[in-house]
Amino acid sequence: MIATGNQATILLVDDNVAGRYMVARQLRRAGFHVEEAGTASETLEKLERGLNVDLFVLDVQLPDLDGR
Amino acid sequence: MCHRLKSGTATAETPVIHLSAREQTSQAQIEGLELGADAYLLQPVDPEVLVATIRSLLRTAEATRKLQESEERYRDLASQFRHLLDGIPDQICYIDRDYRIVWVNASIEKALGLNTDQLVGRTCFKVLAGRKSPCDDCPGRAALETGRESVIYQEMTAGSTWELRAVPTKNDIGEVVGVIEIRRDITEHRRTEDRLRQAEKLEAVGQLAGGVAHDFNNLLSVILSLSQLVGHKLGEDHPLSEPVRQIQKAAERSADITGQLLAFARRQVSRPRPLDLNQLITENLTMLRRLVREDIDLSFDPADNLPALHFDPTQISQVLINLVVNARDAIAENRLRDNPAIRIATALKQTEGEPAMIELTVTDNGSGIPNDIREKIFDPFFSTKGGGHGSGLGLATVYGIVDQGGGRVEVDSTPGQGSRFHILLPAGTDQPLPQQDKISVDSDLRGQETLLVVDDEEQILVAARTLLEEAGYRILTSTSPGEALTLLEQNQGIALLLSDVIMPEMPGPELVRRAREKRPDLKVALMSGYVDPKIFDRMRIDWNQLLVKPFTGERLLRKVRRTLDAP
Repeated sequence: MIATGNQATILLVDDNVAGRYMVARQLRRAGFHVEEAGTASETLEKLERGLNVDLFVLDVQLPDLDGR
Repeated sequence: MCHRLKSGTATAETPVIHLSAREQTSQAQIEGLELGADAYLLQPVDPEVLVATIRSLLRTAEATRKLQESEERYRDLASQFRHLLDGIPDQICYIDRDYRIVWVNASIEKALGLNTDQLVGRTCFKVLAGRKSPCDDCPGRAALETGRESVIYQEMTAGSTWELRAVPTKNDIGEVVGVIEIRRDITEHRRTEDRLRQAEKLEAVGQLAGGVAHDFNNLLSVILSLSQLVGHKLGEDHPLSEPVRQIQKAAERSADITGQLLAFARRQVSRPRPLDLNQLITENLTMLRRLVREDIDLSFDPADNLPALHFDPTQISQVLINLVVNARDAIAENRLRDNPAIRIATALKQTEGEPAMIELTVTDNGSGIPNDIREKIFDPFFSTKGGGHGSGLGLATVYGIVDQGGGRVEVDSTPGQGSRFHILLPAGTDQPLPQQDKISVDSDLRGQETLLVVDDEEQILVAARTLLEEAGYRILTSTSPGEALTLLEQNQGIALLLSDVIMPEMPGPELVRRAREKRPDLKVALMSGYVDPKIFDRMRIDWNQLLVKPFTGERLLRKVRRTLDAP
């Protein structure tokens, strides 16, 4: 289920904490609900726990799994 | 990662944006997009570009979802529509202006043994009728040409009736674009309509018969009772005594016919009493023999020691007549049979754990009952005798009477060999049968009391006066209940009021009620030529009070004497 408007949930995956912090802040300011993950396994864990994600923003290079 | 997300069921439709360092090659971008990424942005990303990209992707995702939903809804509707059409037992098809079949439902496929692919797109008259042009009587053609609904009825050789209805469909500007054809089996519907018509006819005949019987019973009372009196007065040796006896006989036969008319019109009421079944059948044999052809051997085999049966004797006679007539007709259908015979028998049936039953069997060696109609033979209006013969009520009446009396009907039959109907009736308790009323005439039936007789039919009064005065009574008569009440006040000596039931001024029971207010000790008896159970129940008439017309002199005198002698 995709939330309408700016209440969409975005999962931001990036191992670069500083870069991720910047992007997350910008997205929150734009009104999105932002969840963050630093690794691929952390991402999958969140999904398995039932997190509903409307859009992924993936860093191409992740330490444990290629972002592609 | 992206590949993993795009292949997971929960996240397959979720948009993915790849972010990558500036030094990434275009080859890496292409790979990312091929794996399912929806957009590719370079770090550091311009926040406005990122947000705009996200919004754009979310809009696309939302639109895709809506499209999928509406596709699903469309599939659901299409499937529901299909099931609906296929579930309808009517054969439905839609043809366009060029007689090309657009769709058909499952009933058509089943009826024709062709599937949708063999029908849709074909020209209806070619594939359905094997013709080169539309059928002449086709209602579909009429509907296409006139723009109005059109119907025809098809009588099939198998005896069924079908309705073929064509409903034109029009576009927004009112042009006929096609026609829906609906073909439906209306055989059962037609049959029900016919039955209803026949039932209404019977009801009308019943009312007529009831009315005629009422008038006839009044007149027959006069003829019967007075001819009896005249015969009695003339004496056996008088040359006119034979003609008078003939008049009496003719009146008795007329009374029989009137009774049958009432039975047919079902204006009868059940009046059970203990009776000897063997004796009753013996009494009926002469009449039953008259119903069958002379070459049919009608015999009766009575069982010994049959206990009393608690039943209405008239109804037993009706059961017998209907079963014998049925047997006669079955024999008539089996013309080649030698020694046609109908055998009536009685027996006592005692099964363990069940109350004793008295069994009446009627056996014939006629045509027998085909297995496929055995369940229908007791249905009202079911008849194998064809239109105009047999009302189809005979066996239904038997069933109704026996069922109402707590008994049951069973049938054994071998087609071509004959049938046996078993009527099982509950045996009465072992109470002794009442002695037949042997009318030891005259002396006991005479009297000197003063009687008041009220009937709107003048001739009944004349007959009653003649007979009752002959027996020694003092008689006052009136055609008017109002006048009768005055007479009662003026003559305290009146011991008994005998009144007709149905009179225009005031019904008999009402007259009785008012008379009893003035004279609580007054004895009363009612008489009627028309026995309608519904009306009589509403008037709360005690059947024991009733003298049923047509009466004979003896029955009139007996009713009067008994009422006077009752405590």
